[in-house]
Amino acid sequence: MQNTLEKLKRYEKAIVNYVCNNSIKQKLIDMGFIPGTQIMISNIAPLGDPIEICLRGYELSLRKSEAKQIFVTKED
Amino acid sequence: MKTFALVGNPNCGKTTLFNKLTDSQEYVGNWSGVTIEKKQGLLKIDNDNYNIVDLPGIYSLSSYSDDEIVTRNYLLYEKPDMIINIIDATNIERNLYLTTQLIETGIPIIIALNMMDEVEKRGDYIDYEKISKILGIPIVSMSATKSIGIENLIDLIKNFKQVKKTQSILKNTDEFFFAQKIIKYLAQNNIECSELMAIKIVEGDKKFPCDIPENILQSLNIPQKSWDVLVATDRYNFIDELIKECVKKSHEFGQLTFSNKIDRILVNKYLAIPIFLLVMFLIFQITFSIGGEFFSKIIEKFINDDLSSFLNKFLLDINTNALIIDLITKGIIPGIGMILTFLPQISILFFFLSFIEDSGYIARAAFIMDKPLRKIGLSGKSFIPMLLGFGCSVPAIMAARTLDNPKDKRLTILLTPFISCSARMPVYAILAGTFFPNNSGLVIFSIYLLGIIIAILAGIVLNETILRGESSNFIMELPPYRIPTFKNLMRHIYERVKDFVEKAGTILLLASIIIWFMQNFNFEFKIVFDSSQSILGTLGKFIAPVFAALGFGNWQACVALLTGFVAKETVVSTLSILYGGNLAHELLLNFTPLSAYCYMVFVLLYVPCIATVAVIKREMGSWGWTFFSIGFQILTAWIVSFVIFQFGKLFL
Repeated sequence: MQNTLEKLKRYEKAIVNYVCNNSIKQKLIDMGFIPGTQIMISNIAPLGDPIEICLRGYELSLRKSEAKQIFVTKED
Repeated sequence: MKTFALVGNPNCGKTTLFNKLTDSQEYVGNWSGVTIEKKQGLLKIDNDNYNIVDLPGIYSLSSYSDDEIVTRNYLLYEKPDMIINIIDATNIERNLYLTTQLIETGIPIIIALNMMDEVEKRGDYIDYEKISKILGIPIVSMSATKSIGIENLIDLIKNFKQVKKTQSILKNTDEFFFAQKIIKYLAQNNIECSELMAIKIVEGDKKFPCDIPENILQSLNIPQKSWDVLVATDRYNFIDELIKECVKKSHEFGQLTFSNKIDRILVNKYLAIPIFLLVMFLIFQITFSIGGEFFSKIIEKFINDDLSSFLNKFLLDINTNALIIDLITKGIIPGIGMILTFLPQISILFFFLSFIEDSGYIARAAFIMDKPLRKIGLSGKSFIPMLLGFGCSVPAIMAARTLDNPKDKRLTILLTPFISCSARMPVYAILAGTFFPNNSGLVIFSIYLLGIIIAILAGIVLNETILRGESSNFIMELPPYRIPTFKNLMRHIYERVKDFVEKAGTILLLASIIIWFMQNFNFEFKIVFDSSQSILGTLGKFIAPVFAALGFGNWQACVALLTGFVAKETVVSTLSILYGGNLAHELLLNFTPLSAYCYMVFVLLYVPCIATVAVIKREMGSWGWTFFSIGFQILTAWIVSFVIFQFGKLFL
């Protein structure tokens, strides 16, 4: 099922489908959000935003508005 | 002389290695963006000298913030003889992404695979010899913090002539085919173009400096595709294959790491904010109670009682001129001595600030605070400069360079001076200790808090008026927690203490002598016996009316604010020289508790010091913003002190 990244809950895993075209796209793909990449939500900030994502062996923080640009398929 | 550049992702240990190679003492910490400027040092091997350049960390060569552009432009235009690509082995996948781009600059590369000790500790295994063979790049396995493998790296550097250029990992792809077409076409017109540049042209990267006319590009018939994604995908797919073959990880994807587990507590939904506040409060308490009450008293007693009377007697014994004795015992000793009593507090404060930086907690603090900071138009990234501002405003303002959005950067630079730096501490400590002896800790805490509140309010005002617009993104790496090395903590403290003592020995010494002179002489350079007739007295009385409504219209207090522009510690030096004798006693005669509090508030909020103004000018790159910042701070200081004094009068 396709979803945007910010809808995932803590510790949920997913596979990246694509990143929307916008000003932060290059930065996101440089950081490793390539189609097929495995990701996991490893934490959510106390106030609900930003979120921490584990990918390619490291941790990255993204705001929900930024995570919304990334389409993923949830893993079971 | 040959030049070698240290290039790598942020926080992979470039500066630690730089310090090791060149025997330097540059600042390191455990967060992304500690190094914001190009730094050079000399590496001596046998009789040869090599120039080593430390550059700000980058994730890729399409760079975004000012510090990243420094690195990219250095590689593109100044072309070092060789790149030493430092890779954080615990994070090898993403680190190799940059390597695949560096290969295409055409500059020879060697790889320093750093933090291999951590990889071993985790139980992971990296077959770096195989990686080296596949990439065609020499690799040294090492740990810069533990000084392991540095000898091997130096051997490679010595034999740098044997390092050959290697081929792009994109060599069989469509983008490479078109890139070659561009290179050939430009070569016919005598324009040199690296593979990297050509691939960036294919990608259509608008931020990349490229001076090739549009019509030439069109004539090459490059099909319309999302090349940016294709290129990055090809790079990462190559890396994925490489990792599959050469790296064995001990834990599977999705298993929680040690840092994840710590974050379950430190960045817990309910505990995170209370823990953060508790940490700040404890740092504050320990700094002021242990440092202030205990160590400072010892130093103070030594300087005031023992040293002062000894020198007085000694100088009298050797028949020194009375004026000189007066200069030393009533100018220099109170001026500098008073300041030196704050060394323990400053050491303790910096110990804790360094601990926060080196452990990796500072990035979590930014993560927690991002959402509230967005309300005042800032991002969590701005929180790092502000937290550093508790130490010293100068490096804090420089740290704003890591922000990639000009509006965020300006706003952070304008607000950081309101965060109370350690130089302001002596002023609070003396006034609070004199006027609120039973609650001095609480009173000082309220001043720090006020600084934060004013920064927030000023942020809201500026964000709604002259600095509107989107705040920057929050794509920020959260480094793993690391135990700070004792050596690095000590180095941070040593650097600070050294700065502080140097400042005392130079600027404050000079200021003390000048203040003493201006207090004892009038405009006709004749000695005066009533210092209110002196140069300072005249100046002070001239500006005093401006401050009368704030509760401290006595000329000595006003002069101290003037000299405080040089450095905030000078406020204490000046008060101590001008009031003379028993400072506490004189303060009690000249201030009320309310006016003393307002004085602290003014010192908190007005321009930190001349060095801060200089760094604001440099970072803003504009006199307009610099003067705005000065005016904004003085005005804020005046208004807030005025309000507190006038309201306070109604209730007290």
